Amino acid sequence: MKRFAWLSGSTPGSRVAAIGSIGLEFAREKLHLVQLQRLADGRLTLRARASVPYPEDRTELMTSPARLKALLARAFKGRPFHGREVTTALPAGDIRILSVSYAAGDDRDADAAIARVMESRLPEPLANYVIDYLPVRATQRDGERLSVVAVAGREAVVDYLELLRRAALSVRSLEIGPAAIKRLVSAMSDLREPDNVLVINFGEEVTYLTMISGRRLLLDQEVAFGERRLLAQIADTLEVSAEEARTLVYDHVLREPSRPGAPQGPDAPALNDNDVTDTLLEIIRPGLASLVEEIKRTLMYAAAETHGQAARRVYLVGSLARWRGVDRALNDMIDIEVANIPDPLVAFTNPAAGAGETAEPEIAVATGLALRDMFEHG
Amino acid sequence: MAEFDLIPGDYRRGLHHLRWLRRFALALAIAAILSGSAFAALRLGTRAVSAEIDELRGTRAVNEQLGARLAELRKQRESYASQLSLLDGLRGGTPAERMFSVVDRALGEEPVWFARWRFERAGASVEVSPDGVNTGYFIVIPKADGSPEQRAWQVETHMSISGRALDHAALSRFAARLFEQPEIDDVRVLRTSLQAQRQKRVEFDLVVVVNNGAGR
Repeated sequence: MKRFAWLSGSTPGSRVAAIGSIGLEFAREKLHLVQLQRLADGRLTLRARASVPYPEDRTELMTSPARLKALLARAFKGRPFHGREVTTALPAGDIRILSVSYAAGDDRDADAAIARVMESRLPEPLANYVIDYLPVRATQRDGERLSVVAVAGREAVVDYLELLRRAALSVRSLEIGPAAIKRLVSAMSDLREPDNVLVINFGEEVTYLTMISGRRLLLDQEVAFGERRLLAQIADTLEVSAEEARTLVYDHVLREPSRPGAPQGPDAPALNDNDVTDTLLEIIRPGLASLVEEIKRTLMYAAAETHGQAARRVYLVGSLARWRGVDRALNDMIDIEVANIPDPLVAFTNPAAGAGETAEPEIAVATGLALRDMFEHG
Repeated sequence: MAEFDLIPGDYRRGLHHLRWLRRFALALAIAAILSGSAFAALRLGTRAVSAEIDELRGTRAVNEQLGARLAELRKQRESYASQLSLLDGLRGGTPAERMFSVVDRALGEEPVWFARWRFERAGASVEVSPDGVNTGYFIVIPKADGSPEQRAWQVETHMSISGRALDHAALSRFAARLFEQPEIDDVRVLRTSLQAQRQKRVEFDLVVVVNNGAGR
């Protein structure tokens, strides 16, 4: 795969020059961990990866360092993870990402200007929040600058850091999911001609539209659209319960049967049951239309910020990315190539790193987090 | 390339301090363990050395005791040696039987007869004067403890002879030849008298002082 020229399988006998921190993400259903290493010849390879399902509700797990420690022990067991230093992202519910315009004479004024803007937008004093930002538009236009600002409640941040610390992890960096996706997409793109890429990260209740231009994060927007809404739509249309609708989707639409207790082997329903899939896609198409409106608005915004450069591709990540045909349906509705994000680990052929585990688009965030050290080092 | 990092600065600094505190505590613990171990090792070593010293002290006490005993025995041996020397001295000198041959050699063909012959060995304790000149045969007596003066035993052996001679000339030759004998120190004629009888023999008494160093 040409795009992954910087990522390749480890050659037996290649000397490891640097090992990055572990990219750690608390996804909706699983804990994802990815660790990369740079070989002496400059290539990046996967050192270890793990995706372990939560034994209980994620919210419950995140209140107990002891249970998290036990889960981590399961994840680390038998896998060649090195050290316990992690780069992680706050769970999406704990963070708000905003695009903020502000007037600032120079970079030194930016901190104060953003603080003033955020003070007016946030309900509590600034001391109760942790705020960081990345400039999107550094050059002045009409005296205004633009930054992507990440805001999280200070208590939530400290609780999260303490949870990890008490679970015997050392946090090297704490960032946001969209930044990790941006890093992964940037690394996959041809750097000589930076792409404008829209990444759609589907959640259960909300979806995030992340606009990336080359190595810049232009926008991260939250949209009230999620898997649950589509399941409700299917249930209403077919006059079945939400749980039955979910079972139907798990058995006929998902790219892999992940429902606990789902039939496996020769008795399992054929996954290429196109009639059922097409029917279900027709049901959710009106629901997807509302998302498409948001996508088009985002693409217009990106074009304005990048002097008319159109987005070349849309990547899908998250829950709906596992639904067969969603990419095709969206492709029909917008005039841009839509595809699931390529499995970021497909280029790694290190058998010791977790061979046999199913590759998932969800591992993209953890891979993007793990890449942070590699770019800093390399 | 700038990146997001939402770890609060004060939290990061707190962790940094905590890490240093832990290292410091660990270093302190290690230092304490090392000090304790060193103290224990020194104590153990000191105990071993003390035991050795005690043993050496005991050995020295025994040695001193043995030394004192040895000195006492040496002193006793010296005392016995002195006494032996004294006894040797007292027993020494020219033997009485040899005196017969000495007198016989001095007598030759002289017309001298012996009526009474007494051989005597006698001694007297005298003070040894460092500056004076003593004559005779002296046996130094071991100095008694606390005695300020050195005494010696002056041994004198002599023979008293009474007899008759044909005449004074014969007595004189006999006395002269006796005096010439190396075993004899002195010959003193104590008395002579002519007999009132017809032959007019000379009766005499003389003392012969025997040289105590000769013949030994």
